[in-house]
Amino acid sequence: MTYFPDEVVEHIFDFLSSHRDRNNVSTVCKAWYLVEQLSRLRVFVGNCYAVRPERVMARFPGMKCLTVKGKPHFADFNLVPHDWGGDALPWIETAARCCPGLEELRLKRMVVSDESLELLARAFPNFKSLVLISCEGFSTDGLAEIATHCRGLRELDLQENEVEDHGRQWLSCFPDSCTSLVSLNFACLKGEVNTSALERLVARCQNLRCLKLNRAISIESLIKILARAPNLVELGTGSFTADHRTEAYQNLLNAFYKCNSIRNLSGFWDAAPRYLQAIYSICSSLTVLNLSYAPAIQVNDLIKMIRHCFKLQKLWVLDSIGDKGLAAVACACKELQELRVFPSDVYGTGIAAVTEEGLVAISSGCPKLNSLLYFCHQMTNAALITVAKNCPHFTRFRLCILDPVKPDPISNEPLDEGFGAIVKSCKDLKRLSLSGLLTDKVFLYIGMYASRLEMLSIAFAGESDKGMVYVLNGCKNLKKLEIRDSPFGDAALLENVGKYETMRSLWMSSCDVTQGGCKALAAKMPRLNVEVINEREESDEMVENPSDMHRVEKMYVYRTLTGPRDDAPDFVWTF
Amino acid sequence: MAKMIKLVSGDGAEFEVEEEVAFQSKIIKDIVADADDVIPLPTVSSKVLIQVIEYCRKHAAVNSFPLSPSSSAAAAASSSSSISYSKPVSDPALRAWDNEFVKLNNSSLFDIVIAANYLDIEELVDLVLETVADRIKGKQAQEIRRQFNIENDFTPEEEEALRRENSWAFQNN
Repeated sequence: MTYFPDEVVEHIFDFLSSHRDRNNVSTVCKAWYLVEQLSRLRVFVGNCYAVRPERVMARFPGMKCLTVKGKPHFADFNLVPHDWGGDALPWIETAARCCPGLEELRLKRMVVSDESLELLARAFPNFKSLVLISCEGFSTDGLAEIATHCRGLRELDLQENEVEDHGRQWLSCFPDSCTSLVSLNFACLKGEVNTSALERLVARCQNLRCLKLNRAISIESLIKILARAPNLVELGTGSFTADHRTEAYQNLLNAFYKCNSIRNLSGFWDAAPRYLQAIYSICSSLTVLNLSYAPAIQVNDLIKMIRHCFKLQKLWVLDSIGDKGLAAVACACKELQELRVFPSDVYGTGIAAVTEEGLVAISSGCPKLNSLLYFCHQMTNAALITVAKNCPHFTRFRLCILDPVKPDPISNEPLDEGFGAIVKSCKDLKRLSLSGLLTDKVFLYIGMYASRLEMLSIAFAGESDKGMVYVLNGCKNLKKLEIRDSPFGDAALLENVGKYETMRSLWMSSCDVTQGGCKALAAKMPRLNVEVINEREESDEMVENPSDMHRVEKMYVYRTLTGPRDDAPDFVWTF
Repeated sequence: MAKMIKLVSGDGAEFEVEEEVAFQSKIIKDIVADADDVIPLPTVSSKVLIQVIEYCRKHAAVNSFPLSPSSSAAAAASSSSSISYSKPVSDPALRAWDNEFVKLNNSSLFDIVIAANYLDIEELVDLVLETVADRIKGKQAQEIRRQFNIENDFTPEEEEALRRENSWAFQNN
């Protein structure tokens, strides 16, 4: 047996950054387990209910960076009740007791109260970075605590959170001694901020490289801020409209002219066309452009801008870009890897925004494309087959046809063949979202070909239990399966129960699963939490004693080391 | 005329090396500072010492005669008393040489790292251990055990429970 001293082993582990590798080495032998557990600095918890915080911190006492994820993904579509769970407080409390050296916390889809933020701000003297993604439950008061007490804070990154506005003072709470900020993102905040405090903060934080302003920030403020932060790499522009009829254009142009380092641009909420021209000078250096909050930008202005963006790798736009705009992207952006096209007019009929033509153009013009989110009103099999041929490197492919169960408008067929072509061609596909009219056949293809698939989203698809069974039996790397409004019932649910212990979670809503089916699953697989979410406003009698035949509206199943959770609200039943 | 230091391996072989080569080792540097030019290294075999000297000679040469602006900048950045420069090795030719140098079996690599650790030659330790780490990446435990000849002292139940915890709690796919 080869012997190495512990410090040598630890030093080897320093070079292992992936969680998978660290997990693997921890199981080699007891000595390696001990070294690894004491030296793991970055800890990832994919489901906050799969393991207790106490266990996490007992195993990794040296933890410096913690990532925790809470609610299932369909929470983004308002399918998960707000008080379902995912409270961050137990994690922060336990860390305060056991890992006071914590420096970074990343939370996704969790409920974070102001109380939690206050504790976070006071309990960790070396705290440097807070990233909250799609969280809720806090207000600007909590942010004020963070600003006040986190000496040496480097990063405050708020992405897509629901934040209650209790006033503009939180930003003024950063003390004059705070000069350490590298990244500040408050784009999701609805309310005003104290702009002069912001300008002073930016001026004294010489290392600031990422600044994403919210909609309340006008161009006049932006100009002053850019003057103080010419080294920004990432910028969220704020409203991009002027408060007064001042001739801000020349100043804006000058301000951007000095900002040679900007590579990532977003914001533009109310962007007036004349101001857009001010950014042409930096367009040619951009790698990331997010215009998904900019409905005011007209297609022709967008095209004029895009023509300069030849280094662009990531583009997020609204579907008002149209097929014409996408053709321009296909011409100009040869380095494009990720495209997201969001719906601008979800409920209205409006002008047909993007169609299959736009997608085909992109696929043929952008050979490096590997990640797609595409909201559209229609898609054809022929287009998908062409896209599959043009872009075999997709790792993420999410197609959202807004009209559920819409067939191929030309052939009137389901889209089975189109998606089948995608999974067959894209051997590295990890994430897939389906839409349109789909039979069980598409699932046969997915089960057969999508061997690297980790996450699958299904809505209004399939004809029978067979569909779901093909997926469960076929996709050997499947980790997350989320299904809504599809005809899968107990037989499918119970066909391959062992599979769920190899997956992080299964979500099914508005399907044909019954309470009896859920109970049966729970009985067979005691290490799963089978949660049934009953929010119905029905008569008490109905809710108290639903029969086993009763169809379950929402079900969330996940493997766990801890058994049923003790914080479930009364409308969540764990069988 | 460069000052020479004599290194004596565990099996009694003697090696004369230039001072700047030997001083890649902080330990040797300290010993020589105590006015001793003959340095016995009883824990280092001659086979390993030859390899270590080869590494030190290559890296000392690069430091003294920079081949590229980047390595000279690195050398200039370091103080004259301790010849160490910031990672990663920026000179592509030197990196290529390093990659060839570590094309050894695990057993030889470990001998080198033990010696480099003892002699406190930081860059060599990093180089070897990073190479070892590369051989671990992406591998399952059983394969790692086989490759490094490590005995599995977990019981099957313990191993199963640990794998489950790793996979269910701490995995990021």
